[in-house]
Amino acid sequence: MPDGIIPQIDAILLRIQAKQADLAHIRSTKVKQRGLKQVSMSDSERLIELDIARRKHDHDISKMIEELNLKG
Amino acid sequence: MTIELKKKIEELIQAHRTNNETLNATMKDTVEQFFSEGAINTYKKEFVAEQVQKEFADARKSAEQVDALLNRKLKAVIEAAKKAMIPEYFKKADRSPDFGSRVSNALQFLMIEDDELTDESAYLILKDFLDDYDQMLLFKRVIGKKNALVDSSGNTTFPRTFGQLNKMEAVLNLFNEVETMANNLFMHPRSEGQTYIFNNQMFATLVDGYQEGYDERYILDFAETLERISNKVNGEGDETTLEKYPQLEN
Repeated sequence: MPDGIIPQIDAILLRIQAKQADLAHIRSTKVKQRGLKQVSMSDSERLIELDIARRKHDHDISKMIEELNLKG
Repeated sequence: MTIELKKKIEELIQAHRTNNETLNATMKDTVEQFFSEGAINTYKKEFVAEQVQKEFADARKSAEQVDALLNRKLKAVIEAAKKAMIPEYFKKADRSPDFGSRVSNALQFLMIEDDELTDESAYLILKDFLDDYDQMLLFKRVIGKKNALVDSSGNTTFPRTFGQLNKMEAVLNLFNEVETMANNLFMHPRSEGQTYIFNNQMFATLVDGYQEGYDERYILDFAETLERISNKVNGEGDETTLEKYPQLEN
């Protein structure tokens, strides 16, 4: 196992934690900003937000894991 | 310098448990979100089932990713401890150009001594090779063909010659055990824990199985033993070390 692999693994673990925190935040979000007003967010809007956020995080995490696999 | 292997493994086990808690909290949140009174009256049953399955699958995927990474980190931590504890094993032996003839001479001396070889004479013949793990292993096999390497009580008959090699072999054996345990420590299949029934559908939280708990305790015991050996070698052992592990005295 090559040296320096531990900080790389830690970075991915932090990235996954950020994903989980972000998704939890979206799940608990009840309102959204519209101009200066806050209006309630519908369930379907929340599901779409979740889907977009999940794809973005998964893309970044897969890339990081690929780099880790390339290293050994 | 202590290797702190036990502490590092404990931290990884704790991270794995936190990961389990996050998985279960996410699953519980999902169930509560889709099976609230409002949601049940708003959505079709099929839509809810589909969404719940999707959320569960994602939560499990994330948890499995984390477990795989923690397992990888565990292996890296063990390897780093191994390198710190027995650097001789990883160091390429410094072999001079006349290495072959020196080995050949040593073998001839050993053959002349034959079964009358003593620890003292073996040490004098092999003292130039003591730091060369692979070569000493070969010499040990050669000597073992004609001479008993342990007495009836199981003590080595060549403490001066093979003392260092025996210690390294003992440490390597312990590391082998730890590495075997570490291979899949956080990858054991989870079993079902608390069960929820909503809208005639059953969902269960996931918990670690019995095997995982056993393996965790086992690997921590080995890590503690390795740490004690390392502390003793570095002169940091205390009285308890020898009380609990008298075999380290040899």
